[in-house]
Amino acid sequence: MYNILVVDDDKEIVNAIEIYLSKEGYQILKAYNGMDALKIVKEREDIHLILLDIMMPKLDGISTANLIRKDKAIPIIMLSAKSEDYDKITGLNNGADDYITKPFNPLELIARVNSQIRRYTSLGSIVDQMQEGENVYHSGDLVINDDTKKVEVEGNEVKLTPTEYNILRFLTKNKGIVYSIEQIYENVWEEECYGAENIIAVHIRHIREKIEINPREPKYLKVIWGIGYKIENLDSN
Amino acid sequence: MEKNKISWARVSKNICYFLAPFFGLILIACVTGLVIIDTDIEVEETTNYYDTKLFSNNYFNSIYSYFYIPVLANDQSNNQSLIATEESQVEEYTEYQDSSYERYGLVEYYGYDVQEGVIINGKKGTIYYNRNTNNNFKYLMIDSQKAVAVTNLEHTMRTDSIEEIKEVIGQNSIYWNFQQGKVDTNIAHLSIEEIRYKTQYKNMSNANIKEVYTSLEDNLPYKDDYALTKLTYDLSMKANTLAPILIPLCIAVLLALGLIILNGIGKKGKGPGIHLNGFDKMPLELAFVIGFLIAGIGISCFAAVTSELRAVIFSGVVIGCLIIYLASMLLLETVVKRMKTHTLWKTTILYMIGHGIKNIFDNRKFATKLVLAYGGFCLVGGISITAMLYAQYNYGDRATIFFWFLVIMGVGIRTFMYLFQKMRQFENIQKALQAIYEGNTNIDLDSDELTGTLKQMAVYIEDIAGGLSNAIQASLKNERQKTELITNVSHDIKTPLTSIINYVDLLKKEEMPNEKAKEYLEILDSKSQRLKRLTEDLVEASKASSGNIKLKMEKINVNELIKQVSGEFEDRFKERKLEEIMTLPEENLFIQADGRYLYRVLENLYSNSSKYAMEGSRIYLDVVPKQTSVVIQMKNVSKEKLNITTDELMQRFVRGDSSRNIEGSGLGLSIASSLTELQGGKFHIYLDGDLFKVTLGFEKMKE
Repeated sequence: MYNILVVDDDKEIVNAIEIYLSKEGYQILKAYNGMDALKIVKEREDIHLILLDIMMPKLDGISTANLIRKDKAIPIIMLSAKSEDYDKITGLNNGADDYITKPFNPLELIARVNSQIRRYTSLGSIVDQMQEGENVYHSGDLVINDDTKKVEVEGNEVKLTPTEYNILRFLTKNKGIVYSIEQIYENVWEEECYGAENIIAVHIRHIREKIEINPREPKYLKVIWGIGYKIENLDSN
Repeated sequence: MEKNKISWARVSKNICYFLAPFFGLILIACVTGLVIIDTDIEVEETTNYYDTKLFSNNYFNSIYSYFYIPVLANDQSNNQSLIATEESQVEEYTEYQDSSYERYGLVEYYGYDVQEGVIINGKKGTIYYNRNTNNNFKYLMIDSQKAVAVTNLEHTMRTDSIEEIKEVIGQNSIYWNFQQGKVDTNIAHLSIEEIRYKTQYKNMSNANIKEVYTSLEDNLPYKDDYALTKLTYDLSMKANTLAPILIPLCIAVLLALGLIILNGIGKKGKGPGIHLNGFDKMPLELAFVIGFLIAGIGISCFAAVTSELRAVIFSGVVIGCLIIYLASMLLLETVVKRMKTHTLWKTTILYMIGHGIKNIFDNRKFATKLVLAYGGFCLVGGISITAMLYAQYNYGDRATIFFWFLVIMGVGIRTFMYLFQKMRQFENIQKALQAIYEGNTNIDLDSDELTGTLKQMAVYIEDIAGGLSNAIQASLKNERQKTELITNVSHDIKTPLTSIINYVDLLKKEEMPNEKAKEYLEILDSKSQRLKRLTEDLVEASKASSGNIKLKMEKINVNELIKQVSGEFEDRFKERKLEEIMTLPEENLFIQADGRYLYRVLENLYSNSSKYAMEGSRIYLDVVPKQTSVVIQMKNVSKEKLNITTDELMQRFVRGDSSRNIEGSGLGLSIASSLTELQGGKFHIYLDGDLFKVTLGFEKMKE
């Protein structure tokens, strides 16, 4: 049983989130401003995640996150109507681990909460639990085991077609490097590319839809428009 | 207090005006003295007037002029005839005398007193007493043969013997006697050795007169020419000795006075400025004419010198000098005042005429000016060439030909310089206009360098640029404020929208009482989703149109991008049975753009096609390489009638279909257009019946 603190000055939003997350089996604590949130965080040691609104009376989300971060490593997901890049960067730079813009898709919210809880509660990275082998490729919580042909994202197995698998394996193997459609084609099919048109692009989109929480804002498989695709290198080393 | 304040500069100036003539006179006297001593008088190494040749010449002339009187008197013992002969004699010898007979006092004739029965050298004879005794030169001429003596001693002496007359004459220290063919004198230049070869002396020695006694009154009591000449001489000598001190002194004093005068001119008690009167404001030439007229009056006063009365001569000269002095003061004052106020040149009639001509020229049209300048050049050129040819064929004077050559060259170069300068200025203005056209309103037109019409133009252009700049600034500020407002409002909308969307979603999971409730819920769901899109697009459209976006320009492969976007929409096209026909060039084409925003442009276009294209139709996408650009072209056939114009379609919130049933904000094309232009591209929409065509043009990047 994990405890999640939801902080927002809009009570209806807090209640809605409670309904969604309760169904997922989380225990919900509620606060309607930053000061209350800080009080609860101080009183209770067993909070596993905080959902924090930015625009709030008394103490805003950014300041609250900053204060919590002084002595707590609890994951914080910012929840805000501010959708500019600048706002997201500010949030992430001030102690937030993720940023969700309002109005949000409930499914996306749940997925992101799950993801953060898993990371926070698992002892070490998921990769460590798996057998580290020569044929295992990974970036962050995306793991491809080439021996078993299994792909896992944050512990969940993902089903891919053989072509999709090959593309993902190639990109993960060379994570951090941008490959154009032509290069991907030649490397995966091992033959020259003649007017491949949009086949690769379609596959990439399909892969993204399967492994990403929000395919429009991918975390692993990034689209560099007009240049190519890459698997983001999420491993610090 | 202020009114009664005395301007010391003015007072001292007036004192100086008063003093200056005195020092001026001293200076003039010194200089004249020097000049006279050095040139006019043959100065021997002496300071004694009586040792000079000037004196001896005068003296000898005096002797000679009285010499014949007794001779003639002897012939006709008649007073009247004596006078007559005296005059005719004078006329006679003035022909070879260089000096005027007036100087010897003969014209001022008062007649002779006659004393008869006087013993002259043992004979009974007559003494003629000249009544004109106001003469420093005293003489006694004796013809002992005829027993006639003539003297200008006063008759009142009643001297009854020649001896007494001789004695009186002999009292004076300067004397010249001629006795029995011998000269007895103490005048250096009239000794027998000096005058032996003179014609006058020869005449004298041949004449009947045996004895001549002459002397000059000591201290020169009479104001005759001897006295005057001696005075002049003494003064000149004095001037000569004092000149080394006086001349520099006078010059220094005059300079000092001049400076004080120059400083004081134009100053009055009130305030520090220069005060001009009516005379200072009239044209300079007119002022000079008036000044010269006044001076002319002064000069005419000098006519008094012809008068016989010394008083008249004196007062005439003094008044004349005064008037001339006043006239020159007047002119000096006005010139200095004009110089001090920098109006000397501007108040001349010449300047006014020149200025008038310049004004007339300046106000002409530019073309007229060119014509005038060129016409002037042609005219001078024609005259010069004609003159050169004339000189060549007629007298072949090289200097003349060269002069006209210089004239034609000078005028030619000047005209060229004028036209060149104008063209340069014109070019500057052209550059400034181009800068404004290119959107740079911060132009720097140095209007001081420009002249005439072009200067006016420069001023106008600067004004326009300034106005444009202000307008742009205001418009940018306005847009920014609008964007801010829209962003803030959208934040405020998003919070309640979150609740709506979430609770609609939760409601969908609940059991609905009937089908109708379910249908209503669907409508709520779709509309709330649309509202979400709308708020997002609104912010984006506002930012794109105000240019409030930070671009990260990169080298973009057009083929790659099209394939990527196409891949994203593959499924959505399939859903509506749309087929995409891509025509991409063989080689890779690169453009400069921000990939994320260019994707947004294409995403909007693809999204539009997937929504509004007729079901089962084909969508054409062509990438066309041009000489310097790359054109991305997208065509599709609309499922609805396109009853609007291109412009209307580009407007925000306008959609091709009027039903507004389909998801979308109507901002897609507006955003796409704004973003394309922000990245330096060109966005065009063509409507032809139901054919909808969009082109994006970007500058091709060299590899």
